[in-house]
Amino acid sequence: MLNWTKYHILEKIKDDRILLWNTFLGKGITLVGNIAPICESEVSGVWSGEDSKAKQILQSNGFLIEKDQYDVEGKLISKMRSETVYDDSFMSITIIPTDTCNFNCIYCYQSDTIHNMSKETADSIIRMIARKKTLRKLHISWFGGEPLCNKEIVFYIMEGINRVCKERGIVLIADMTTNASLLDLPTFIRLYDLKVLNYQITIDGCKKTHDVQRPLKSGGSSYDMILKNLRDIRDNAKGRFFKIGIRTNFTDFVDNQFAAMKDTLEEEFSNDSRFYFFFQWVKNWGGNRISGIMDRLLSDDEAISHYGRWMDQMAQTSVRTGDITLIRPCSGLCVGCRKNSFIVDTDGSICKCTTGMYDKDYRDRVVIGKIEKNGLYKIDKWKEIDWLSMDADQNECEKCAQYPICLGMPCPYYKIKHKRVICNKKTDYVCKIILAMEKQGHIQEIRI
Amino acid sequence: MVKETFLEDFILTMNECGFDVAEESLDDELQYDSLQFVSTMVSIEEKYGITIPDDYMLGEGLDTARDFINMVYLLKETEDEKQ
Repeated sequence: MLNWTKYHILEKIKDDRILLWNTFLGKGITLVGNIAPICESEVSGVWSGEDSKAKQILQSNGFLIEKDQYDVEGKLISKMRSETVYDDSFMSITIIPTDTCNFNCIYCYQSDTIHNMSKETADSIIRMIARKKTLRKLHISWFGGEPLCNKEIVFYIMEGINRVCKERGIVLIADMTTNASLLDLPTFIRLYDLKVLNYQITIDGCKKTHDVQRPLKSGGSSYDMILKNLRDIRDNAKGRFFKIGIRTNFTDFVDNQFAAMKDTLEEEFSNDSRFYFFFQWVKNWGGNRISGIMDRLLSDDEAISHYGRWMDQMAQTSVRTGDITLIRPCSGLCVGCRKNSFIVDTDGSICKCTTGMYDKDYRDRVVIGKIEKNGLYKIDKWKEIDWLSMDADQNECEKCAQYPICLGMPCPYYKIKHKRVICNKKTDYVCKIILAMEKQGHIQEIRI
Repeated sequence: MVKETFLEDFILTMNECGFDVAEESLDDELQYDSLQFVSTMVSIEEKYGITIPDDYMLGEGLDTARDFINMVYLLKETEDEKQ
């Protein structure tokens, strides 16, 4: 007898159509036809039906597994967690080249400081990487402030890292979180050649709402600058191997202008798989500025109730919505949970969280070491262990369909600050993303 | 001679991208994940001055180093013809 894997999600779309997602394998299928036996079997947890085409499809896609596999699949994921957290062949470094920014976003948790990374610190980062003899894969993330406010250091470090990686045969890939106002075409092309291939940029709705939520520090509009740069990249960048994720930070204000935003995104980025859309609702991420808009924030429960509607409406467009990278196995594991994942602040301090490092009450827990000029770095093991340990109930996590995605280690900063583990499952975001992918035809459809 | 230089160069590029490739292993099946694939494709674009089109985005048909070499030859030929 075959069992249903614990790590699947089933969404009934119509009477003759179901969507199945395997969270362990990170892939899904849509089945069309007589789905009743499948739904009944899924509820019972075992396949007791005949040897049908449906059974073969479910088995070959990892939804039905042998009983002895079912008994150990949770342990397999726990093993994957240990290997991922302590993997010495992988390193992920988030670099803060500057903490200054040319924007004045109304919800930003960062303070108005100006610290730029020096060439000396940049050299120490390159040396740190060169010294790591076990390294086979390197992931660099650029963050700020606005990283492109210190563009020359970004280029300098990426050139140095590319050199080291070529010499040593290390696989390198990089991403950047940027407001995109300074991401003009020449900058983008240069970054592409240096393997900065994935971008997260933010457009908060239409021009009217965006310019209120994300004005320039000088007070002017930033919307047109961003759109001009994105159009230039869309029309003139030759390379195909980049992705630009357009994030929208929702407030009730943006929600009211949703239609205008949708129209613009559709007009600009339809049928272009290099661009995709996702969103977050604005929360109290800390800092002082948020106090000015507390009455405009959606509660988590309110936002979750809107989430499906937003995703559903965007999925009706041809703008790619719900990128698979957000729900791949391990994708929910915070980089702070990995032994060889660091955030390097402008002064070479080694931190574990880009939000927590600006929390003055908790910065001491977030900063766990410092890089020396020669590239050596010391980690405070007593602090580090708070970030690497799994404090959720492993037995409970092993029963959860989303365990392969978060590996039972959601937001370690929240755990340290509030002394309890927060579970992301309640947001049900995985379902919303796969439904959007299904609607846009990105999931294989099979007739049974 | 030109082909030999190209081959040496290409093997070096693959080595720089983390592949343990040599002349005698050009037909061996390569193991790579999406991260290494994308990183390699961008290195190839830069090294040979070509733009790799969408047809190759998913890596279908790119199982061995020789498959990658054939792709570069084909794309270079196409670009030369355009010029």
